[in-house]
Amino acid sequence: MADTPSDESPEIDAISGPDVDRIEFYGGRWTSVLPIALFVLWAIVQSGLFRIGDTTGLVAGMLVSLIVGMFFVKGDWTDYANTIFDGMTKRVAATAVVAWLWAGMFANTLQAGGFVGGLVWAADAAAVGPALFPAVTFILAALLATGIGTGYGTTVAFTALFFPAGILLGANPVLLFGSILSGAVFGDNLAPVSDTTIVSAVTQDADIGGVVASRFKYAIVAAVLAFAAYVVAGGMMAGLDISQQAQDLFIENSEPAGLVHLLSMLVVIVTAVMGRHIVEAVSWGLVVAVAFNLVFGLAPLSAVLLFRVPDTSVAAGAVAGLPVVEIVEPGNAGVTGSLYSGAAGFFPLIVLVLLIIAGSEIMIRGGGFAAIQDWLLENVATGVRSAETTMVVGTAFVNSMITINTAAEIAIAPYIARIGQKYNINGYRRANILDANTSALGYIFPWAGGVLVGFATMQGLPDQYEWFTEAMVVNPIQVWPFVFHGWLLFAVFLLSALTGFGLEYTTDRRSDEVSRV
Amino acid sequence: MSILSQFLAGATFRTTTPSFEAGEEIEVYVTDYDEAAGELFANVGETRLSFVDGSADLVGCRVLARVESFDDDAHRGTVAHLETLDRGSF
Repeated sequence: MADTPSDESPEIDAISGPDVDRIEFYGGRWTSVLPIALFVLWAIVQSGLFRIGDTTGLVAGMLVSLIVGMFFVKGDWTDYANTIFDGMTKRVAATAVVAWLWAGMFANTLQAGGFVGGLVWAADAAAVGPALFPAVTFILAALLATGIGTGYGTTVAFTALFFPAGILLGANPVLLFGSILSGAVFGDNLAPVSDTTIVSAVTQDADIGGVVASRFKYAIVAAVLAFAAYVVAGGMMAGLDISQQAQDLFIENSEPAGLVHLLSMLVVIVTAVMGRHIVEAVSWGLVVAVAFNLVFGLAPLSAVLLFRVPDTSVAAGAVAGLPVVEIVEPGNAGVTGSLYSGAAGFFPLIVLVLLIIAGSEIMIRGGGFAAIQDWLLENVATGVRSAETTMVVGTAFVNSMITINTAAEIAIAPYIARIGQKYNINGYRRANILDANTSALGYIFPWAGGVLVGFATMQGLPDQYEWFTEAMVVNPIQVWPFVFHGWLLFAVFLLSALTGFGLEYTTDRRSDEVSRV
Repeated sequence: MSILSQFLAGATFRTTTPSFEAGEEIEVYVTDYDEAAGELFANVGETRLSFVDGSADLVGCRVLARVESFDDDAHRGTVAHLETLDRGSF
């Protein structure tokens, strides 16, 4: 998910220990699953059945689900209400929000500077046709995500930049979106600075360098297969029928100058790899991108930020000459520009995710989560192979329910440690099972944070390009079968658990002391 | 451990019943205490190592132990508790 290379401890505070207030429900601890279950049902009906991709509609769904859940609470409802507050103020949620806002501003500023045009020019010049475009996008997204350590940020940047370029060149939109999400999965799983990587290592008593090295063998197998699958599917799945005239016009007007923003991206990658906080890394990238836009004449300052001041304002006369001011009729007043639209696109999603985390916290404190895990521990994990399979499926299942994958990972980490230690499964192996399935499942289902953030970004594209219509936006419910790397990584781990491939015991080798990044 | 061997470590199909040599010193998490049999044990995969000493409060701890005996056919052995390293996470 959103990932922060920092010296601070990852958000282990999300684990609700035995000392927190418990909530009792009529019908027992399973009832605490109700708010999340109702929301998932709402999401399926709204997005799948009605085909309405409105994030604010999902916010209404989560609000209703939280209210319904309250009626099943035994005794005082105050604890339930307070749990909503506690969930919404989790650091993991804030981490995701920060990554989205910064990546949104950055990607939109690159977009304003003609980066998409540059990509189209490069793809055209290198003869990367529509069939190969998703496969190439997967590799590039995987590299960016591994470099900067944030799958969410990568999804935002690639959906804003590579997605429209690929659509215009005739790539299939659903497959292309799937390839972007796959790249994000790869980076979340492997990047040493990814917070899912850090949480997996710290909670399983393993060092970060060791877990990254030991998970490479799984990630690369899944990635090679995923790349091949994108090549094959790219040749089989047709693109959209975009007006030939619009297509020709855009390709004709595409200039290589926008490619200078590859350097803006490089600044982010290098700064992040040097160990700087992702907020700092993206901010530097943003500064460089704005400077390039101005120096190379790619976009004026007003494309980055513009105050549309009404002519009735007392300050109108004094500020009229400024490059970031335009004097307009009172009805047209407002703020525009890439910084504004890059951040604003995520507002409904931010509210939704905060509410979902609140619902997850209710499930944890109500005992629903423990009920699921206890059942697995007692009935399924009865041998080392079945224990590992339970760890894989259990992590995947929890991630399919909790939208922000780091939050899901933190919630299930103690169970992975307990099940694994019961059979003396090595910390590296436990961390790898935990992180791979966390990364994979966080980008597959329609209500997953990674899918939703890509969808939110995509919804802003019709405002950016005349030829991009609402019909070209991929509904989140369409993409799940095409997140090849996510599914393959899950499959690799399921097979590894069943066959013992990669299995190591605590007696085989000792993980080094835990160190952070 | 060299960088290459770190990348390749564990890239094999591992048995569910690992073997040990008498005299070997190993680090294990203590799995459980069987009250009926009065047996403190650690499962390494499906190999069971019984402690010749130690008490039930070691359950869940990571300990240093020495293998006293091992039966390769039964996948069972006995170990002596040398040192308690830490209590397992969670």
